[in-house]
Amino acid sequence: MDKRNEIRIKDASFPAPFAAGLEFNAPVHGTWNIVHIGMQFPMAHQIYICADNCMRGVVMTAAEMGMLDRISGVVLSEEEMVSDDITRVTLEGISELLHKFDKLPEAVIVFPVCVHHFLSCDMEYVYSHLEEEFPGVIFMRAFMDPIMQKLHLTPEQTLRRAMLEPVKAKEPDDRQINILGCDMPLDKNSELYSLLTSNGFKVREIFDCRTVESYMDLGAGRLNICNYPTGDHGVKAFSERCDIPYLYLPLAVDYDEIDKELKLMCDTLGIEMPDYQDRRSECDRALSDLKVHLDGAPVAIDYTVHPRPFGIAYLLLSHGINVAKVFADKVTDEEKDVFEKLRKEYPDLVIAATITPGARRIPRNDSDVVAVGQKAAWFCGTKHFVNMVEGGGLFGYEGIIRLAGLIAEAYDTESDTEDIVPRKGLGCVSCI
Amino acid sequence: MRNTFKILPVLTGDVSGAASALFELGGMTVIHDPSGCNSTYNTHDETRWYSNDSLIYITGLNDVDAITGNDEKFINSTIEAAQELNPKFISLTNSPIPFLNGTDFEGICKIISGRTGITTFHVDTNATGDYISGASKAFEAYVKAFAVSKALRSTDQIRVGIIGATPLDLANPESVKSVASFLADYGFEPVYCLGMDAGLDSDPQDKLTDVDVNLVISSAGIRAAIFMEEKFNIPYVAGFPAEGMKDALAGAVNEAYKSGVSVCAYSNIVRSASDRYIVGEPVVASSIAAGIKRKYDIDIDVIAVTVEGLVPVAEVDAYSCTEDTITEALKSAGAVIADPLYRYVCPADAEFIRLPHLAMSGRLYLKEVPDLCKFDPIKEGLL
Repeated sequence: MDKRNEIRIKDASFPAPFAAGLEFNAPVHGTWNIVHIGMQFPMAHQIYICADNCMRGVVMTAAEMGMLDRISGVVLSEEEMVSDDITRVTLEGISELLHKFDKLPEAVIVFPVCVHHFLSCDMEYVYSHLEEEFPGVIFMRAFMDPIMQKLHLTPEQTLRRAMLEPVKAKEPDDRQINILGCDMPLDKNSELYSLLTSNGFKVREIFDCRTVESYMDLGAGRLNICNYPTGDHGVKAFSERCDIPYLYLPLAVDYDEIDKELKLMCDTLGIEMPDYQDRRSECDRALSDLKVHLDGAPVAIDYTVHPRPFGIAYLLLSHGINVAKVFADKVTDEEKDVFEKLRKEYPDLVIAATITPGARRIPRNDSDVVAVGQKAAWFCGTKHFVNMVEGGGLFGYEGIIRLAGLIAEAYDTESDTEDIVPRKGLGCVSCI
Repeated sequence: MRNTFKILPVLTGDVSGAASALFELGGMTVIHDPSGCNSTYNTHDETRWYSNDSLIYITGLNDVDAITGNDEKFINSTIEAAQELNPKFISLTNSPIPFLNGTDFEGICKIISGRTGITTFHVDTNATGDYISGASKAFEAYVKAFAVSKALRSTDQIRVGIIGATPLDLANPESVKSVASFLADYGFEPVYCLGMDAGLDSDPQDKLTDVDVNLVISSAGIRAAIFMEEKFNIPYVAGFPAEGMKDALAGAVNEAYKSGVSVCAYSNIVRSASDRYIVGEPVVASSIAAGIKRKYDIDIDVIAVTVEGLVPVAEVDAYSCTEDTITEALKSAGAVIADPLYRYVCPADAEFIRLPHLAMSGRLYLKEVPDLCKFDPIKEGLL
C-alpha cells in the first residue's frame, strides 16, 4: 500500500490523512457547483466577470443544463487586468450586459473572481451604482474566488449566503419552517419532515419557491433549519439578520445523534418527541438484511455521496458489513469522533485519496466492490454503485433504511458508470 | 465597450488548450491555479479524461501563498509528484493570479528541472487567451524542448509530421486517423501526429525532425511549425484534408518539399464574398470552405473565431471572436455552417448546418461530430 494515496485508518492523522500537494480531479461530477446552486433562486440571472478560462466552466455548466439564457459573462482581457481599473471594467461590463436585455431579470447573482480581490476591486461601489442604474433588479453579492477557499469561505458558502441576503424579515408565520442550505430536497418520509407536518407545520424549501415573491416568503419562517455543512454559514447569517431561530441539524447517521437532533427540534418548537426505539430496530433489521444480501461483498464509500462518509462506514461496519475503503481527502470536524472510533475499532479500514497525484494511476479494477457514491464507483472501476450525492435528502432513521436499500439495489444492478458519473449536477437537467 | 457574452459560451481557454495539446505526450502538466481549471478542462474540453491516465494537475494555490510569494509549495509539490510518477517532461502553465503577481515560471522550471533531471518548460498562458493560443504555445514549447537535430532528407518518400491535433478541433477521433490515411493514400509517409493518436508513432519526442514537411492541420500547430521552419528548415503546409481539398493539399505538400517554402494550401483558392458562412477554427474552416469551392464552385466565407492570427485567412474572411462581432458578421447570413450554439446569434431565417465544435459546445453534441475529412454538406444535401 502506497501511503501517499492509501492508508489504514489506524495510521491516518486527523484531519488530513494525506500530504497536501498537486491535485487531481477525477472525471466524476455529480455534485453541484455554484451554477447549479444559483439556478435555484427563481429566474435569477448569473453574471460572471472573469478571464476566458475561468468563464468556460460555469457557462458550460449552464449550457449542459439547457440554461444559457440565465448566465452571461464579462470577459476580462489581459490588458484590462494589468492596465485598467478593475472596478470600472466590472461596473461597465455588467451595465453593458444588462442593457442588452429586452426585459431585465428580476434578480442577478454577480460573481466577481479571485482577481477582484487581488486588484482591490471596490465591489460595493459597483453594487451601489448598479442598484442606482437598475433600481428594480435584486443584485446578489456572490463570489467565484477559489483562491480563498482553503483558508476562508468557499464560493459555495458565499453564494448560499448571498442568495438569502435579499430576503427580509416578514411577519412570522408560526406554522412555517424553512429547511435551507442543501441542494437535495428533504425526504418527505424522513422523521424530521413527518414530525413537522404531523404537528401542523408547513415545510418550505428553496425548491418550493417558484417565484421571487414566493422566495421572499422565506422571511416569514418561524424556524430555520439547515442540514448541510456548506449551507450552515449562510442560513445562520440569514437567521441572525431576520431574527429567526436557527438549528443546524446535520445529516446524522448515528442513532443517538439522530435522536438528539430531533429532540432539539421538538424542544425548540414545543412539540412532543416520539419514541423512536422501533425505528432503531427497523434500522438494525435493514442493515442486518443488507449484510446477508451482500454476503461479504466489499463496500467502498466516498465523500461526495454524503457529508458523513466515515459515519456511514462505522454504521455499516458495526452491523457486520464489509466496508473496505472510504474515499476521502480530509476528515471534517463533524466526523472527528467517529474517525477516532473507527481508528480504535476498525483499524484496518483503508482511507483512499481522490486528489493526490498518484490517485490518477491507481488501478481501477475492483469491479466486485459495491460503491456508495460516484467517486468510489470510478476509482473502484465498478458498475455497482449508489448514484447519490450530498446526502440525497436522506435524513434520520428513514434515511438509514433507505440507504441500506440503495446499497442492496446497487449490489443487484449494474449501472453505466462511464455514462453517469461524468454528468454534472445529479438531479439537475442534463442535456448531454 | 467591454467584451460581454450574453448568450454564447466563451471558447475553451488557453490553459485547457495547453493541457489538451500535451495530453498524449507522456508528460505532466501542472496548472498553477487554485481550482476550477482542472475540472473545467476535464469536464467540458477533454474527451480522453475518463480512461486515459494523463498527468494533469493543479497546484491548489491559496491566497496567502500567492500574496507572500511562496513558490516553494508549488515547486516541492511538483517535484514530489514527478518523482512518484516519472513523467517524460513537466510543463507548467499559468492562471490569472500567478500571472498578476509575476511568478517567475522560467526560474521555477530551471529549479524543477535541476532537481528532478526532467525536462521542464513553461507554457505562457494566463487564462485570458483562447484554446488555440494555449495549444499553439504548448506545441511550440514541446518542440523547442525536444527537437534537437535535423535528420537527412528522405529521398524516396516525403515524410510528413502532422502538427496541431487536439480533440478541441478534432473531437471525432476518426478525423485525425483520416488525416494520416490521406497522407498515406497520396504516397507520403506520415511519421507522427503531434497531439493525438492517429495510429502512428505514439512517441514523437525523439523524431520531431525526422520529417521533410510539417502539415499544420489546425492553427494550434502553427507556432511549432514556424519554429521548426526557422530552426531546422522544415517547411510547413497549413491546411486540412477536407472534402475537395485533398488533391490541392497533397500538391502543396509536394511543392513545399520541392521548394522548401511554407504555404497555406487554401490561400490560393480564391473565393468571392458570399452570404454563406462557416464559423470555426481558421485552418479547418478555411479548408472546408476552399474544398467546397473547388468541388462545387460554391463560395462560403470564413469567420475565424480564434484570435491566433498567425494563420492567414482569405480576403473575404474575418477573424471575429466576441459575441458582438460574430453577431454582426452573421447578421445578413443566408446560410451558416457552425457549431449548434451559434444558432443563437444567427438570423432566424438563415439556413443552419450543424457542425459541432468541442471548443465551443463542449460535450453537448459530441455524438454529432463528424469525421471532418469526410464532411460534405453539399453532398449530404444540407446546403
